[in-house]
Amino acid sequence: MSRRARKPALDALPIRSLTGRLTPAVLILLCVTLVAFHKTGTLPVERLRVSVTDFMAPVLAAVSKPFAVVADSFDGLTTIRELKADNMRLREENAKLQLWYESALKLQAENQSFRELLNVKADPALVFVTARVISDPGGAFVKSFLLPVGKKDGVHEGNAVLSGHGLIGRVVEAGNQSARVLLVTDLNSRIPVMVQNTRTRAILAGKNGDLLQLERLPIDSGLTVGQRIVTSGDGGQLPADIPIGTIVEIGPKGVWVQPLTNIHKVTYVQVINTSVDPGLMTGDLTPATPAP
Amino acid sequence: MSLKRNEGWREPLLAITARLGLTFLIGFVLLVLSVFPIPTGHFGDVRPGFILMAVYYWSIMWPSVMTYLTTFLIGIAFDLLAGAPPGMNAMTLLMVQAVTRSQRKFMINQSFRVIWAGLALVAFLTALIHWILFSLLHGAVLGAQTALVGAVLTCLLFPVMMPPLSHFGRWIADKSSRLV
Repeated sequence: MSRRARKPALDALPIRSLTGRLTPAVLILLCVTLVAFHKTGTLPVERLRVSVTDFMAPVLAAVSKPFAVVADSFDGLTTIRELKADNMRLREENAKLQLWYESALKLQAENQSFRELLNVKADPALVFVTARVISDPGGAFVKSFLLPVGKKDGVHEGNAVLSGHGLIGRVVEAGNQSARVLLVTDLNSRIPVMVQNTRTRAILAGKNGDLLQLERLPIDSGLTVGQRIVTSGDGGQLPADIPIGTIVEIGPKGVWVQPLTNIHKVTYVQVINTSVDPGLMTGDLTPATPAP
Repeated sequence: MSLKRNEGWREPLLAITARLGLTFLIGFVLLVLSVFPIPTGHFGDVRPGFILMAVYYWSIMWPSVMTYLTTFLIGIAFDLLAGAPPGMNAMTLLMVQAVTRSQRKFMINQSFRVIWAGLALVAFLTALIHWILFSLLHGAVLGAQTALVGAVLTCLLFPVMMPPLSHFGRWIADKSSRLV
């Protein structure tokens, strides 16, 4: 009885009503402040973000399995006609690749002998960690993936992330057991690239859509539709010559590149967990010891 | 005598803890559901606003279930997980909660269709606010298509999500009130 009598009295207090009205306003103001601080780079939230991601990674990995099974099952449903067409295409592709394989072997041997003659310091072999994409938590305006691999697997910030066809992003946050990949399509993604056949340097920028834009191109770069874009390796963050996409449009609104991979359908990725040779990054040109 | 005095603060404390715990548990489940996109082909991968649905619906039916602080914390956790600027989703969720609570007296006696229409309005306004804020942050006019499709999907899934939200909302409210 006494408790019942006390409650309305408390409700009637002006301070309670004032607190009730002020709480959302104060919290919204706090959110605005957090966003503003984040924009100016004065809020070090990366450590907190990595902790949250690390904590959630095992849960997301477990929950994502049934989703992956369903998606794989739907992908596997193809008609006999599609199978026949695929078979034909693959046979033709195989014949072409056989010819390329022979040429590649010849060129490799030739290249090796030139390297030995010139004592060239070769790029180190790349080591991969393969991981399943456990979630794509970004949203309409953030394009990122979460992977269930982290520092304990040798994955670090800046590592390149590849699908079967080419580069799709790079690791921007690495926890102990999880890593966040910023996709090439994200607005914050800027990758130093070059046109494969002309070696023209540029920056490939994500635009939050399916296509990427080539920026900072030199004047008279002589681009044509269909040219392949690969990483240039400038800055030492990403290894050189990883394919990313092909030019699909050259117009007044810029040069647009279609990624080689359909990023929405990626389920497994490879993380290159060996950074570029530090000697090459710092410009250390000390000749390697000649082979006996 | 001293026992009675202890019971005086222990029961409300237990009720608050139970309510917060259960709300966070369901918030956690909704958070996990929110990070798995639904592929929509041409429109890309779209995420329905499950947390938005809960905040909106519970603000009308059981406002005590989700406090402003709970919404803030779930919103911040979502931002951190999604890679968004911290505070972005938390802010829009708090706005939705504040506006919906202010209209609660009108909304509570309305039919499902009116509540659904209210959610549609809230979902599109949230998408619009996100689009404006992200465009401002990046200094460019971004495409709003994926956000709008997300809002449509939120509206379409609300009738499916309403029964579990209703069930859990009532459950949390009952559990915490029984302790008082």
